[in-house]
Amino acid sequence: MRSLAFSLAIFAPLTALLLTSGCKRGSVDGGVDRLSGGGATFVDPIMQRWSSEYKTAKNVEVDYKKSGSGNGIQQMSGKVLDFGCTDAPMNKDETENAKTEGGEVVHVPVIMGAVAIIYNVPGVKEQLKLNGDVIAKIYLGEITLWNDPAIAALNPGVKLPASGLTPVYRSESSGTTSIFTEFLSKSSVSFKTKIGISKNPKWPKIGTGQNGNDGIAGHVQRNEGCIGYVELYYAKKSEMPYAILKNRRGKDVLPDTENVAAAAKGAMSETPTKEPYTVHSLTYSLTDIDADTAYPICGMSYAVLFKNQPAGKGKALVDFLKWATTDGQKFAKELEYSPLPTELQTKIAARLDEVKLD
Amino acid sequence: MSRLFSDIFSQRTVDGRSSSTNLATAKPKFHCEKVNFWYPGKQALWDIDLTISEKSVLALIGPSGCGKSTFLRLLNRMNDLIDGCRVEGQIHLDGTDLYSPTRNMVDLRRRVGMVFQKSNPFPKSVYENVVYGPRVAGVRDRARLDFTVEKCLKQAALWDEVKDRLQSSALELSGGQQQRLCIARSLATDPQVLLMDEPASALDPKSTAKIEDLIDELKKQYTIVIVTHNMQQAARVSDFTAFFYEGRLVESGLTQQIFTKPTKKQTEDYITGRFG
Amino acid sequence: MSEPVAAQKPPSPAGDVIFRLICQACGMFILLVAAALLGILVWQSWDVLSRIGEYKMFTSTDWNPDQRPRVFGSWVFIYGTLATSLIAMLVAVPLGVGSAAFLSEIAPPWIRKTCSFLIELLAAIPSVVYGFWGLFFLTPGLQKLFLLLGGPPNTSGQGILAAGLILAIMIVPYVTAISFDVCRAVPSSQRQGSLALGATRWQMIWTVVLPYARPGIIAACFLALGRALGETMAVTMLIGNVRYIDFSLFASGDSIASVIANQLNEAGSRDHRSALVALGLVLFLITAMTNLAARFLIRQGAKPRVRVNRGPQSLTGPANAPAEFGPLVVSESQWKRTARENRVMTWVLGFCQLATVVPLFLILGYIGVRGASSLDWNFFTELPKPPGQLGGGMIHAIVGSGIIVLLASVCAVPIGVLTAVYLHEYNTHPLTKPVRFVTELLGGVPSIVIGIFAYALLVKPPAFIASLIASVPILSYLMPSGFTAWAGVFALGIMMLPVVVRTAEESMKLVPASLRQASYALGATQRQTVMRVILPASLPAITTGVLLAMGRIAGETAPLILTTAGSNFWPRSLYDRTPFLPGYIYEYSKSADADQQRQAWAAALVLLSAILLLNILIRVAAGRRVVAASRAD
Ligand SMILES: Nc1ncnc2c1ncn2[C@@H]1O[C@H](COP(=O)(O)OP(=O)(O)OP(=O)(O)O)[C@@H](O)[C@H]1O
Ligand SMILES: [Mg+2]
Repeated sequence: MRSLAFSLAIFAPLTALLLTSGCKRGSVDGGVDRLSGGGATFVDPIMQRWSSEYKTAKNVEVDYKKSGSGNGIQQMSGKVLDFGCTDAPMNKDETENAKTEGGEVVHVPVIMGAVAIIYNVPGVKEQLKLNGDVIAKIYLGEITLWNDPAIAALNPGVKLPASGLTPVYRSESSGTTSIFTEFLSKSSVSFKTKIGISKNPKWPKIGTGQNGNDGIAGHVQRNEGCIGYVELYYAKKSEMPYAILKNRRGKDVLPDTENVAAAAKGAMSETPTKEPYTVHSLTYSLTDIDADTAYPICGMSYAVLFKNQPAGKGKALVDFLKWATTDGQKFAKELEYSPLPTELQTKIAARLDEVKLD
Repeated sequence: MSRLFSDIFSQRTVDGRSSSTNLATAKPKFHCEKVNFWYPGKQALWDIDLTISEKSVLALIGPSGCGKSTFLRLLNRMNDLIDGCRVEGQIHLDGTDLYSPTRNMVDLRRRVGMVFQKSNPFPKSVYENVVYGPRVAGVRDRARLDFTVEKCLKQAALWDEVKDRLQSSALELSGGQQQRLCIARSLATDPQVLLMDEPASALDPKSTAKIEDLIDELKKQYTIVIVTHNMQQAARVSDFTAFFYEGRLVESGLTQQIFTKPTKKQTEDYITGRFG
Repeated sequence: MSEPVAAQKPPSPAGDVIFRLICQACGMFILLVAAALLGILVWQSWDVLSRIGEYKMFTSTDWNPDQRPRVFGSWVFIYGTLATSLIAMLVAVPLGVGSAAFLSEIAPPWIRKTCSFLIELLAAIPSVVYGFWGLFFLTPGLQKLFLLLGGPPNTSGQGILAAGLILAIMIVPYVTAISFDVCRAVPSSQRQGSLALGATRWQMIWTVVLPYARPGIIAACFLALGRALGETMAVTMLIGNVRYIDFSLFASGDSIASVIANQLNEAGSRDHRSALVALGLVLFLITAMTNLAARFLIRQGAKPRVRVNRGPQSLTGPANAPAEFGPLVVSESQWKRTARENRVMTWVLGFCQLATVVPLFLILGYIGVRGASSLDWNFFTELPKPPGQLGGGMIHAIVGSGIIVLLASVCAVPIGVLTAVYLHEYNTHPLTKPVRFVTELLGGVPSIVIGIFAYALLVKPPAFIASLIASVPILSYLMPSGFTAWAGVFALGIMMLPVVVRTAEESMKLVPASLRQASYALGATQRQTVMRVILPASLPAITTGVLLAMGRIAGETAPLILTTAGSNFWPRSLYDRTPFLPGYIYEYSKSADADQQRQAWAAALVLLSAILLLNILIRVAAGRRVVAASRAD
């Protein structure tokens, strides 16, 4: 019988593994709790900061994995994550899909920021001036050289090289792309008809796709001739120059926290009229806002979560989001974001109170 | 015993097989002096002194493992392929140093052909096997290749058996045919010397006879060195015989003399089959 | 005093039966896994496959998962996969065969030894490290080259060519290693026969060695092709990820494996997911076919194929009266030509060898330099810091990787070894042949396909499976859905299983029959013989194989992205998302943030050193021990 025992012993580790693996997923009472989130790369820098601060303050771990807005929405809807983040409110399909999986979804704005246009043009270190129409033409493949007359006209005095121009876009489903295409669709009719607003549009036969805000920033940084759109923090981190854009009122504006705040102020003063902003409360379009200092490509990032939450985890999640949208906003400026206006913060708290815990 | 061999020798005279009359005056082809040879870590040949005459047949005999093949392979520098082996002493081919560093090995091997103990046809057609040598020498002329094929296969007594299947695989031939094919193949480069390592060891008596006839024919043009374990065969085909024992050359001389009046006891014991 | 022998207490037949049943069950488990793999792939892709025309899966280049009507034309990805693999083969086959010929026929022993060793190391480098290196080293170079060659100005170095080249570097070791073995197996009588006829060494290689080795070399190419087709991380990092076909060499593209890795996680609609799984099925079928072809060729044995003419069998032309020719005389110029050809080709083959191993030094050097300057003590003690704060480390990911790899081995080794026992000891059982076949097949399945399998079974199980799991308490306890370490362990375990079975069976074959007979002669049962004699004797070889396999899966990235997803905190339980080192290399490598790039270099250096060190130690230690094992009597 001894060798039989031996043969069972081979399986002992396997058995032990299966048994020990049985310990329950972290519970709130068990000391450290962990919230699992993911999605938009737009919010990732501040989310990581919150995660670190919140762990120190409340001993709760917020495990956020950047993977693109579309990903965040899907994982949240599939209940693989506790919450997702997206820079574009969920569209009709996504909302319906989520409904069948777990009911109504709550959108919670968590931060606002600007989408900067970064570029890597050999020999050009100054900030170029661009407008929506030119950017649309670039992403439509109609402008292929840096010394194109359209660019030159906006930048008198800048010596533009005759080198190639490669637009870089996101390879995965992205809220930042949605914000960007929303702006271009508002600026250019031909862009609107040919490509339109989408998290994952079908680009013409140009350029290259990269994964994440960080992917675009890295690619532009490493490759001459490239142009890309990234959240402001990534633009600053890449140490690449970024463009001054003409806003709706024809003013040249830089992406910075004040100009985002100006855009937000403009956006919140009117009621949204277009989908998907009409579908979800507390969602706003911050692109191409009609205000003097408004930067034209601004966006808001939302946490999305089911309205019905399990008691323990749901409470932890609501607490975290309340903290992030109030106390957490103080880290915004450091990371090139714009804090949420106070009246919005109050509305968010009220909205979060509607989450049902059971 | 000597009865048996004297029969062979008298038969040879009857057959009109070449006598040894001109042998004494023949030019030396190879001349070896104090040749020592080492495989990696182990000596295989000691102080070999031997001269091989042109257009004669030399038989190497001796018990298994005594160094016959090793010696044979020294003559076309086949041992060079073994990493870490070493030769000392002098070997001259036509009066020039065989192991001189400037020697063109490819030319040497073309002039000194070799037939191996185990037949090793290439996995190609019969035709391609025969023309391998000329082809690597750069011959492209189809007529010349055809001529060579026919000539060599006839010389190797294989022509009649394969002339209608020249393009089929050489591996489909019988063992004996394969061995004759290998002989034909080495003739195709028009060598001056032919080294044969037990060419008949895997053959039936009929094929063996054919090969022996072939050797007798070939020695009119070629110098032949043949290793054999078959004493009768050695007596039948060779003009000279060299007896090796444990890496040393014990005795060498005219075949008839070695087989009928050996001077060394070891030689006599070996030839009469008392050991080995 | 002699030991009381087994005869004193008759061995219990029940134990033997149970043991046999356990071994058989392990064998059946492999069949079950393979059946489940295929079943899940087919079932989960059925939505799209059943309406393939409507989705234009194989009739369009339009991949449009987000807008209605949804179409999943996948020619972009199929083209990308085929084109990159083709480029890889075009580069890797001549290089690999050339360097195999060089190693086998020309190189002195010390070069042969060193280079085989280096090539083994090259094969051990993880895909994500190749991709990372390619991103920083290969693509900038290619971009300059493109511009020099007058390529379109709008290129980054990324694209089909970059991905193809990195694949070539990755598969060259396979082509070389297998071709080398095949060349060594060419009987030396063939070489000598050729040289004795006056062939130069190059002529010998070209006319005798390579033709003789041809079937084996073709098999090697098929195996390498199988790998190239399924390769994920390096390709996804370099191919450019675009959704259009451009037949230019400078163009960007996308591959099947890459689009699965990028999109499966975010696939919202059922049909999007289904289309991706269908692509996985396509990939599975293609690679299975190339692998089967390779196995078939290998099984054909070392027999060379004879190329014969079907034409006239006798001499053509005036056959019966050929002209007379004098003896063959080789002209001086002909001499010079063959000698020169030989010299040139020797250099060319040597160059192939050089080109094969140089990337190893480029990779080691580049990652070594950048990694070493980025590595600090914090890396081994801290968790990642939020952006903007310097410092931070990846200890949690190192630990997480370790745990996942270890647990995968703990699961795969017993099952694998007992399956090998089943194959080796109970080979009269009717299912041994299918089990062996399926194991070989499983060994060639691309890691991304295993990832899909684990994802579709454990992470986001389809409703039917989910309800099945929920209804059986023990299952819902063992197989929770969502990103879990357990799903990653499952995926890596399945990848390891075929390797363990293979090495265990091979090393059991090496145990001399005399040992077994001695054991039986003492009255031991089969189980006792296996457990006390055969397995202990083959243990060193099995351990070696298992450690090497662990080295391989430690660098796996794609299946883990789909299953454990990574985390910024300490690994907590098997039911949580769990950090793993290669994931961070992938994530941080693309960043423009200098601090994250620094971390990525450090992570790549740590991963690479761990894997290479493991390989070096094993090879230094195992050489002796495995030989000792095979000479146990
Ligand atoms: N490649 C080699 N490396 C090391 N030793 C070798 C090698 N080839 C042969 N030997 C040794 O050299 C000695 C002589 O071998 P050789 O082949 O010359 O014998 P032989 O007389 O031809 O024997 P046989 O009649 O059996 O063919 C033997 O002891 C053999 O073991
Ligand atoms: Mg011999």
